[in-house]
Amino acid sequence: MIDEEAFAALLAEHAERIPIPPAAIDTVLAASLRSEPSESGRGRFAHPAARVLGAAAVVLVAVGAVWTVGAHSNRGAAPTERADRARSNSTLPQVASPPTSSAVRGSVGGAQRTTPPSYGSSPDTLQQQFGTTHGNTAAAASGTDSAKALLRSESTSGALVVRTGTLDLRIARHSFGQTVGRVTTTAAGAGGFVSDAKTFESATTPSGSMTIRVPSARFDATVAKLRALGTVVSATTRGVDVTGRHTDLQARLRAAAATRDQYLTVLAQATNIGDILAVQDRIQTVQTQIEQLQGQIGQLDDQATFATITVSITEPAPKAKPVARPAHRSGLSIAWGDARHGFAQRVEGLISHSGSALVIALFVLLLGALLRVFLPRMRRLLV
Amino acid sequence: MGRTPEDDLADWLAAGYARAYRTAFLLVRDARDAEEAVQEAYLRVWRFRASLPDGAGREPWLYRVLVNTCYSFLRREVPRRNRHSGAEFEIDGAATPESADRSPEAAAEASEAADAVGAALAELPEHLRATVVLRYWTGLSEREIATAIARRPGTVRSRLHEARRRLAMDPRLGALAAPVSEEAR
Repeated sequence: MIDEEAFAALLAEHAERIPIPPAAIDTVLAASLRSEPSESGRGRFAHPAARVLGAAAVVLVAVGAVWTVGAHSNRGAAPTERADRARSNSTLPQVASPPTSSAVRGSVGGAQRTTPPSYGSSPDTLQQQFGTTHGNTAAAASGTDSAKALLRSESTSGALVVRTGTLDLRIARHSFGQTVGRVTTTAAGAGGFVSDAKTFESATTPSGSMTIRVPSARFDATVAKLRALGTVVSATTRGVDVTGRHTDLQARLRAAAATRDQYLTVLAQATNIGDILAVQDRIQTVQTQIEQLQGQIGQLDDQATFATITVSITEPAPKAKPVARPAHRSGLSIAWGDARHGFAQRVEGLISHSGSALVIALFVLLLGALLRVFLPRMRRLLV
Repeated sequence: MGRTPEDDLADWLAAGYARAYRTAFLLVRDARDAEEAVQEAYLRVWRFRASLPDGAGREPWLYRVLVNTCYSFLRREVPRRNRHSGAEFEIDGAATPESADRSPEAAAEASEAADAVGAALAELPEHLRATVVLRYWTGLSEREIATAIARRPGTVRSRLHEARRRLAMDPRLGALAAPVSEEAR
């Protein structure tokens, strides 16, 4: 191999002896400066036409992309689903609820369904159920005790009764939306609200289920009104007296509050860190109990104040259309029918293929524009 | 009045002229062609100054343009003049400043060796010659050469290796090759 340093030195010596043409740099620089004073604007699009073409291509591609995406998303949503959405939107705005129960909406249905009939025999189950939702209701229940007491006083003899009912209604055809509206107005008329509404619409038969909450005192009257909306397929009503449970919870709450107060007194007297920490720990535990109890009481209050009625609404399935007996057709009419059918098919095919053709055309156009813009530039750079 | 980037560019081009011209000369071995190549390269750099990278990054680009221009001159079907072979350019009588410090014998010996280098270089294929010139005369790094000849750094390395191998086999450069090969042993 060759000695690089020596070679470089000799090459330098050789090169240094190459004479520089006199005044050459001046001519070069003069020529440089003479050539177009400023071409800094000749950035990415050399030609105005190319710029316009590029912009047009970008717009076309954007339109094409939007159009393709739009077509896809439309195809994705089945017609029934869209109808369902539309219907839901048309009915749900009427769902209104007083602020007290907005937090328990949704959890109410589940609790109501699983509440044991003889609730007093299994208090633990109830406690668990309520335990899961007390957090939501605690806050909601606290501020409106007076209003609830007022409503409750209308119900029977001060006893706390949780009333639930289910109603399975069959209605006349094409009256689904109307019925949903009527259920909503019935609830509102009784001083209640719709807490949950689901509607389904298959191709032919819409159906739905609505959960309404009405003040307990209006429970019977509301059920009677709802029954009148259609044919009652099945109906259940249930009343559970929770007065004892409520009293029990109140007592436990009072006891827990008293314990906490005692601990607070102890805490005030505690002198060393260990005592303070121990007492704070206890207070924390009791405080948690208190909040749980408050939540359960609130939940019971809510359920006793507002009865829950679940209404299922179904339209009867349409009768199968009688199969039309094929009429005798002459050869000419069959031929005419075939021709019409064929024509329609071809036109459909043409339209369905025009989409992809348009996309291809767009890309070809874009490619052309890009080549037109960038090829001369690249060629210049490569030279 | 503040200096514009264009002033800076003009100064930079003027300062690098000798180096660029000699690089071009080593590639095309013709004074007129070298002059034209540099002029062409400078014009291009000037025209595309807006898209030129700043600072040190623009040097490889200048040499990229220059090397490409030289290549296209070399590929002209009918050379306008007979190219000089080896070191047959006219040297003006004045001695180069460096040689004034040396003894006449040493200068003569050195110039002989330098001529040999020039002659050996002239016999290298274009692509190897360009790499060698950019590396050992222009002084670009391998990465910069990669930019200048639009090849990967690995290609530059392999070309340099190949060029060194060929030069080492050149009998005129035996004096250069010997010490290194002894070291290698």
